[in-house]
Amino acid sequence: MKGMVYKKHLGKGRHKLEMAPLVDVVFQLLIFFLVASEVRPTEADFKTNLPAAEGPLDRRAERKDVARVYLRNLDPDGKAVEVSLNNEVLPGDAFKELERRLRAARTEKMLVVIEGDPTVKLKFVAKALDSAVAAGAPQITFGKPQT
Amino acid sequence: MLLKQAPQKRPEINIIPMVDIVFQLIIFFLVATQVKKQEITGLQLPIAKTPEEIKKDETPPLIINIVRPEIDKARPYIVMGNRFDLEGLKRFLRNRKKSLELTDGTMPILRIRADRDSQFKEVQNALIACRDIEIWKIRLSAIKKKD
Repeated sequence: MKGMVYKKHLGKGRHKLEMAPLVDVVFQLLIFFLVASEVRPTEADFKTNLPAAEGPLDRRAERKDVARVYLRNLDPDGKAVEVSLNNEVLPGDAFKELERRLRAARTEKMLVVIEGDPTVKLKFVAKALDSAVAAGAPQITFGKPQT
Repeated sequence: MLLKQAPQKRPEINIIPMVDIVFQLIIFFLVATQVKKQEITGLQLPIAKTPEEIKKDETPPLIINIVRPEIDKARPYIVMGNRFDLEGLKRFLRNRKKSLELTDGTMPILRIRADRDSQFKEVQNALIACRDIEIWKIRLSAIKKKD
């Protein structure tokens, strides 16, 4: 074609891979994962039995190896609790004391019933569960809700 | 004596090792973290020493989340993204009973993920709602405390 000039590629040297955009993208990815992610905590389960609010709970009263744990709120905000075992308030580090006493009283068929004020925070219930499991209690359950 | 002069060359920063390291970091974050896709934002499980770690094949068909009263006092139960009060939860579970039944006619294990500051009565009521549809095996979730 007349008058049309094709530009020749002038660079005859080795083709270079452009790194700068790649680095940009990689940094973007890195920042995304830093912002959008979090370290995964180890989630675990307490294996609990259901509180049978009617019949079986009444029958529990007949059993001699029932350990009744009661958690009572010490202030309206529920920041502290009093721990009782079979109506006896536990002194000092109550949850450690609870574990010690449950271990001492443990039998093959012992049933630990965890009860408490309705507004007791779950973190304290989890501590009581922890003490009962650590003491080797074979059966743990929750009492029916207090009214 | 003639000293050979090194050829004059513009110094360059070698960015390839840096890209390697950045990719390593991205892979680390991909493997060690999870994208925030929690059903409930701000739900903090209680911390405990003794719960058993969840096995990968042990995902229950239904999870009941319980938020603390500051988030939603009237409807503290969240199941499959829906918020419920106690009556709503009971209704939801009753309606789902058929679809939850296992092939042998028994009911599956159910997991309760309750905030550490949620109230004990909410957990107890959730347990009773489960009992009403004959779910007897319950797992109460906690974060496993490392010694």
